[in-house]
Amino acid sequence: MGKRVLLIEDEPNIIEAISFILTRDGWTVHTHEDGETAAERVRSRPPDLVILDVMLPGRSGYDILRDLRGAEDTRALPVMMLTARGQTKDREMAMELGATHFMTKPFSNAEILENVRTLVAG
Amino acid sequence: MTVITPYFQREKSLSQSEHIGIRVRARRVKVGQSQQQLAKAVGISPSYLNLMEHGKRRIGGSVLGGLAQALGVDPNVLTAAVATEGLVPLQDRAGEPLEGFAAQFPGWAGVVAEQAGRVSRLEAQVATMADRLAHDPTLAGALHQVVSTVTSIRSTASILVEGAGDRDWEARFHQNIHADSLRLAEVTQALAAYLGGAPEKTPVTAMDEATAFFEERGHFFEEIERGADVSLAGLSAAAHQIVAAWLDVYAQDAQALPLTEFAAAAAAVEYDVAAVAARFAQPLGAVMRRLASLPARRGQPMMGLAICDGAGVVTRLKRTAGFDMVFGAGGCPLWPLYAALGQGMRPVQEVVVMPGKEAPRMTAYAVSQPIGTPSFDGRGRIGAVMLVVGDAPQTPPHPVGPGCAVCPREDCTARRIA
Repeated sequence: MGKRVLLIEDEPNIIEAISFILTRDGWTVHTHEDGETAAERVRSRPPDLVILDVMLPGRSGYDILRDLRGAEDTRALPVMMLTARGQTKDREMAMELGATHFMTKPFSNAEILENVRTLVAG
Repeated sequence: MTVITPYFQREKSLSQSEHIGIRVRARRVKVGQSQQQLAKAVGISPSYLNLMEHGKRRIGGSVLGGLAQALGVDPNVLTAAVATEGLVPLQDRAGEPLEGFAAQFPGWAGVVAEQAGRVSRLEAQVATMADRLAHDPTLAGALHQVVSTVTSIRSTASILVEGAGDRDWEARFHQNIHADSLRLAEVTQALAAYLGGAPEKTPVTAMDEATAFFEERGHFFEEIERGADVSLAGLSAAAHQIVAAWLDVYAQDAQALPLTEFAAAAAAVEYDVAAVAARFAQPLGAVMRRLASLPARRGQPMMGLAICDGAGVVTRLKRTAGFDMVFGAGGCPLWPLYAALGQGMRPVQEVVVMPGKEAPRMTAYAVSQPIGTPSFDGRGRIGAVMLVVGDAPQTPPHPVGPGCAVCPREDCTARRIA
C-alpha cells in the first residue's frame, strides 16, 4: 500500500480531482470535509502527509494547524496548506503556525504532485 | 542703504498691516504707479506710503479708502482676511512661508487651498472605498467561490487532456466540469450584479473620514502619549471636529491609564478586561478603548472596537481581522454592544463569530456608559462600548454579522434589510 495522504477539503470536485491525481501516482488518499473534527481525524490515524484547506466549515485550517503543532504526536507531521488567498500575510501566517508548505489556488496538477512527493520524501 | 527683505525670505508670520501693505504694493505695481504718484493722489508722503507698504504703519480709515480709490479696487480687497489654513499642509513642500503668497495672491491662494482640500478628501475617499472592498464579506465570499471553482476546473481539465484512462472516470470528470462551469457562471453573474448595482457615487461621510484618519494611524497616537498635539491638517471641518473629540477622549484615557504600565498589566492578565479595570480602578469602557488603541505587539490578540449612542447609531469603529464592521450601513443587531444598552450598567460577555468558514471566534465584551456630564434632570445620555478580542475559548459561538446591508446570513431573524 502506498503512503497515506489525508486531504482535508470541502469542495467535492476539488476532492475528486486531487484524489484521482494522487491515487494514480500511487498514493493512498483519505479525505475529510469538516473543519470541526479534522484535528481529531488526523490524530486518530496520522497519515504521512496532510493537505489542509484554509477555509473549511466549522473551523479554519489555521486553527487546525495550530492544534496539530501543539500536540506531541503531530508536531512534525508534514502539512501542506491550500488557500484561495495568496497574499503575503496569509503565507506568513501559515508558515508562522508551522505549515510545511503553502500552495495558492488555483494550482496545476504537476505542482501538487511534485510538492507531495518532495514533502513525503523529505 | 535700506535693504528690503522679500516676503518669501521672511520667517515670521505676517501681521495684518503687512498683509494690507503687500496688497497695496502689488496693486500699485500692477497699475503702473510709482510710490510718488500714489502718495500724491492720496495726499500722503512717499516715505509714509513706503512704510505702510512694508507693514511699518497701520493702514486704515480715510487713507485706506483713498488708496483703494486711487488703485481702482474695493477697500475690502485690500483688507480681506487671508485664509491660510488650507495651505498649511503644503508649506513644507513649497519650502517658503505661505502668508506672503496668500496675502499677495488671495484669489490663487483660495483656489490652491480648495484644491488641496479636495485632493485630501478624495484620498480619504479612496482609502475608505478600498477598505470597504477589502472587508466586504459578500465580495470575499464570491471571490473565494470563483477561485475554488477555477481550481477544480483547471485540475479536472488537465486530467482529461492527459487522459484519465477510464471511460467512467472521464464521464464523471466531464460532468464535474459542466457543474463547475454552471456554478462559475452563477457566481460571476451574481458578482457582476453586486458590483454593478452599487451606487455610482458612495457618499463618504465625515465619520468615514475620521475613521480613515484613525485607521491610518493604527488607532495609536504616539504624540498624545508624550503630551504633544496631533496634526489634523488635511481633514474637512466636520471630520476635524469628530477627530478632535475622539482625541480628547484618547488623551483622558492615556492620562488615566499610562501606556507602559497599562500594556504590561494587560499582557500579564492576558487582556482580561475586568481584571485590567480592577487593577487601575478605571471604568470598563475606558479600559476597552485603551486596549483597542494599544500598538500591535507579539502575543497580543487582535482587538476591535465599536461605540454607539443611545439610539444604537455606531459613532466609532476600529475594525480588526476576523471582525469586519461596516460603518455606513449600521451595526449588526446581534452585537453584544446592543445587548449592553439594555442591561443597565451590567457588562455583557459573549463568544461571537462573523459569517464565513474562516472567521475566527472572538470574545466580545460590552458595557453601557454615560455620555457627557451626568445630570439628575432625567435627560442624561447613555451609550455603549464593545471590545472584540481574538483567541476566544472553544465554546459554541453566537453568530453575528458585519451589518445587515452586507451580511450574507440571509436566514437571520434579526435581519432588517431583505
